[in-house]
Amino acid sequence: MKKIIFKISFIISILIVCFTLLLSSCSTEGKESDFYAALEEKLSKTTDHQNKLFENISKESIYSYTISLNEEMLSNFDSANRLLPENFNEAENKKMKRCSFSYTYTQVDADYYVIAKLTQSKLDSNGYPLFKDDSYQENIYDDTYTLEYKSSSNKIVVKKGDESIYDEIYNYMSEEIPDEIMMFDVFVDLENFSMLTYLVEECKTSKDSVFSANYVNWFGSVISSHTNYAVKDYSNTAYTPYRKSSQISGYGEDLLFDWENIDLVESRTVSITSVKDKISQVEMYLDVFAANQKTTVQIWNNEETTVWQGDLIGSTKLIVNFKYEDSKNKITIP
Amino acid sequence: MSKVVNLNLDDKYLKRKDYVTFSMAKFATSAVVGLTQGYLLIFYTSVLGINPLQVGLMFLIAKIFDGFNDPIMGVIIDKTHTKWGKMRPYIMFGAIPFGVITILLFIPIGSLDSAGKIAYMYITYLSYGIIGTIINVPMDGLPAVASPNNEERTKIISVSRIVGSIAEEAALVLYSFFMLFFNMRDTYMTMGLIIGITSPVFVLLGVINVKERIPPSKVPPKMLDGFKYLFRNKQFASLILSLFLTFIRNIATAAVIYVVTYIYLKGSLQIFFALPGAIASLVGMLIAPKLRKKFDNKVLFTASITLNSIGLLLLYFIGMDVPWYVIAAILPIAMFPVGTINVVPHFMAIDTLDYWEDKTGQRNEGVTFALISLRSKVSSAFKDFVLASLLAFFFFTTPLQSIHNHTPTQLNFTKSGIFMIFTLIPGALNFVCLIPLMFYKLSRKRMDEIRARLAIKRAVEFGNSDQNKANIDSSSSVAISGDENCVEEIVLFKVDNKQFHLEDDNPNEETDN
Repeated sequence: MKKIIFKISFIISILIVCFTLLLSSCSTEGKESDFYAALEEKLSKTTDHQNKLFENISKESIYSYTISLNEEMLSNFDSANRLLPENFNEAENKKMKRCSFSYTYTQVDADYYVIAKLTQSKLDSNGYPLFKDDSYQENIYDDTYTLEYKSSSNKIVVKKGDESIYDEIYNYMSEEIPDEIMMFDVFVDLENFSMLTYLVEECKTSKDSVFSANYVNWFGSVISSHTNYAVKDYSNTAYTPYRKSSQISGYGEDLLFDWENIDLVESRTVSITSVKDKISQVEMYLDVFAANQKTTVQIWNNEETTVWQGDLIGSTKLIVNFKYEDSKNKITIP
Repeated sequence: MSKVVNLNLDDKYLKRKDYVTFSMAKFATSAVVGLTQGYLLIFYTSVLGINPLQVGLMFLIAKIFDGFNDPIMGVIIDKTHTKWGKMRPYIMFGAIPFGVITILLFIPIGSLDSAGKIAYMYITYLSYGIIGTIINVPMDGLPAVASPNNEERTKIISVSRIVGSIAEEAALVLYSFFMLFFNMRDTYMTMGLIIGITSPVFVLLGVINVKERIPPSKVPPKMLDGFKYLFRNKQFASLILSLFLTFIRNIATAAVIYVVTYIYLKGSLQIFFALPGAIASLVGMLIAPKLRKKFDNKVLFTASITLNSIGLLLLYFIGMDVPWYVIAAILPIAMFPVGTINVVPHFMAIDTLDYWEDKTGQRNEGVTFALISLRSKVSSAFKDFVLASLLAFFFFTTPLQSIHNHTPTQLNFTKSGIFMIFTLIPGALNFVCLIPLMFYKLSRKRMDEIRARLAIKRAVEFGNSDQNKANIDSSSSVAISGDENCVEEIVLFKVDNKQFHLEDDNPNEETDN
């Protein structure tokens, strides 16, 4: 019996020593500065590599890329009172309006060709999306609009479905841009039709907004990524990098948002995959979280209290795939 | 002076309710095991948002620690003497804490900071390991002492094992059902509550009904003796090392939940992946004895590993861009050999026992199976550690607790990494477990020769061939507990109404009943 008690006591003592060591290693003194120092080092490696990749693209004369963008946004969020719809988790109360956009840019020496397609969900008079059935999963979409442009002919053709609604020589400097082209303005750079500048800007980050950064060489493919957070305070109109925001505390996985004083938080993850220093794929994921209030009843005193939290109200997924000419793949303008 | 206890080996001692209630107790404990083995890793990473590397390290430390607890518990049990028996008190008093700790494991403690979450993870999982050992070791031993009738013991062990295997999938069914209605966080919490509240009830029912009728007959092995034996019996050592490396194969099974959650974006699909695979594996288990009649154990094990790898590699080449049901339909092909992989090593271990007895005259079942049990836990520890490390390598993103229901989008690199963890990595590295087996030389022919020599040796030792048919092993013997002044434990067995003494001054002494 004494031996058993001794053995159990010994095991408990070992456990106590282990926990003490474990908890002491979790001390936060100096940890935050170490965390950010390590993060900035990783970011430096990641962004240097990504900048080099975009420089390499600008030196290419024959290449093609396809952008595929899917966006959804909650249309019935009460932004004035910062309230989610009631019974938010039920499908009929989550009115997500959706949009999909595809864009292919092909460059062969000085000539280039663009084809873009835009599809948006149909909206009712209140601006809410329409759905196919009671499951509220499938949106009803407007006709798909297609824009085609060839630099050699400088002609833009816009179609609604299969019907051509615009077929003219394109003059960007014209005072009036036709509506049929303007609808693409949000997504397409109508001046030179290349989206690379947009991509470069979107892939940029600063040390004050970066939350995590990664870099790995995986059997010849280099994957570099970073995740960033930006905060729009309740009283501001612009986003601030999270490290500069006064509504944030903690760091790393302990990052805390003071939702009561925040309007929106944006999370952006960018990942670039490259092979032999040429970009093969860019991924960009943007999530928007809105601060919202919820009234709950405290169990211990049956009193109502307001709780502030952040929920996802919109997301954008952008994937860009690049192709380059080689002995097996020939790139031509249609 | 020893005292004879009159227990007739042919009488029936167990009633139907004993089988039913004990099986329900086994169902309850296995359901907890299925829940923790299948979902704790993803709960820690995807709900609590703990860094996968931290989680993997915790599993490695805790499971290895837990592996060493089993033999310690065995010693504690054997030194226990109560009016309820040696094992039942631990099961009775451990049942409720077992349920409580199950619930605590799946509480989404989002309000703690990262250090607090890690501390909570360690405390609850280590406690689960200790309480689990207090329950499961005696639970595994209870059938062996529930009845002197060998047939009844075999039946209760078989029935409870089958029920236990089914119970391990209970968590899978619950998960797939609740994911249709809840998010991951609420699903795991609900499962923890349901299983945590019901398991003590069934465990207590089982243990109250099933009595201990005979004390265990063997002195439990000491761990140090076990490791000495491991280094001396090289055949057993090569087998254990090979079995340890089968953790690589188990990574595929553990990755299924990540595949359905992050690649096919629907956690409830897990039932379509895991259940057919489990059934295929069960079929493989059932036909293994028939296959053993035609093939060498080592050949069977090697072929099973190879087929499992081919199946997983086939899935990799099909790719993750196909509809989920294509992968789910092909997965049973990869899982079918797993049943054989699970069964055949047991027979190979018995072969190493016979080999050692032939070589040295010693037979070390206790040590052998204690080490196999330890190996199982250490393998499980490495499986979780390697899986968690691979997730971290492939940039798996954990949620931020301060964003409500945060489910971060995983990169394509991460998703393809998860698919590789499920297919290519175990498929390619599986063959590593065959390397130690190159030193395993116990072929069927050699074992036939060994068994022939052992049969002769045993026949000579016990006088005549009728006595040899008694099959000297403790499960068919009646143990006699001597009075407190006895120095040695004397084992009796009974054949044809004659009692025989072993470990006696005169082993051939007979007394009529």
